[in-house]
Amino acid sequence: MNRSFELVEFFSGRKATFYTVLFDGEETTEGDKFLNNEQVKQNQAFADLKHYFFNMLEKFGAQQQFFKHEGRQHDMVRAYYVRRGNLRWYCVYWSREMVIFGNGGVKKVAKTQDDEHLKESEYAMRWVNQCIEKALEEGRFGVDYDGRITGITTFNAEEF
Amino acid sequence: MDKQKTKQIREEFKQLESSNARLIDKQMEISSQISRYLQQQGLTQKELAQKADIGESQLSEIMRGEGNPTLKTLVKLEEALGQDIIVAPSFHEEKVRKKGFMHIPAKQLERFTMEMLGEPFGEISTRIVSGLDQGNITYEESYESESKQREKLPLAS
Repeated sequence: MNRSFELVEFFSGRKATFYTVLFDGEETTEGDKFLNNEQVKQNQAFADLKHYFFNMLEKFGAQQQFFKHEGRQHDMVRAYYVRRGNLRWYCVYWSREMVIFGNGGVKKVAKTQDDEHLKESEYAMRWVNQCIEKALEEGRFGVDYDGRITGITTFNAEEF
Repeated sequence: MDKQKTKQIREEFKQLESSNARLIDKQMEISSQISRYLQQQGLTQKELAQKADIGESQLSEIMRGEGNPTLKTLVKLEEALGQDIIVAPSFHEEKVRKKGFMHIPAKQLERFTMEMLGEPFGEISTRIVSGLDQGNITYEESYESESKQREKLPLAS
């Protein structure tokens, strides 16, 4: 999954800016793939998820307690989830003001590792996280107080 | 990127309406309040659960914005935090009626959502002001309940 990618704006509001990931050679961003996933769209909690999502954007910001840690220890990979529908939406959590959403789906297994699609979605965000951390160390990536990315938004796989 | 398709997907998402919208608003409001108090007091969720004598998983559910706590549970949390979690807007109405405005410390301003300003004080002209420091410039944020307009003005010295 070590592919080049671009971070593109997804949704923005009064309290936060959400980005998503467009992998090299793809037409659809990871966030849009999640929103267009039939299983997700048919899920009973999808409309609730939308309401939580826009409440974070406009009223509350992306507060940490709404996200579940899913990646490795100390990384920024989280799952945004609505338990009643078992929805998992993987992301890189930067702050209350900025989150990068990836892909995800409906979790029907006990362990994410047992679902190829969810596993891939999580690992994709681990890769994004790894690239961001490296760019951050090198001083090439930053986020301002409004949650806007100030550094690079294109990440070439060869460099990371 | 296929911009047309992207636009269509996002528009469809925006159009979704949850039948639980009001419930979710309240759940997130409660979660947000508790989260703020935890930060202010340097407490962890675990410590709060112990102090309030409620289950950690129950508190975790409340914090995720998915809980449906009873009043009894909320009172336990309020007592443990020494703060109000839910404040009825009418609580402030008397102050507003007497003065015509009320002053809210900037750090508490987030608690007063536009919905709160619009509904309970709709009949009277309410002005809520709060000093807000942004860098070296001090602003006065002014909320007019009747128009629900929010404007930012330099603070008169």
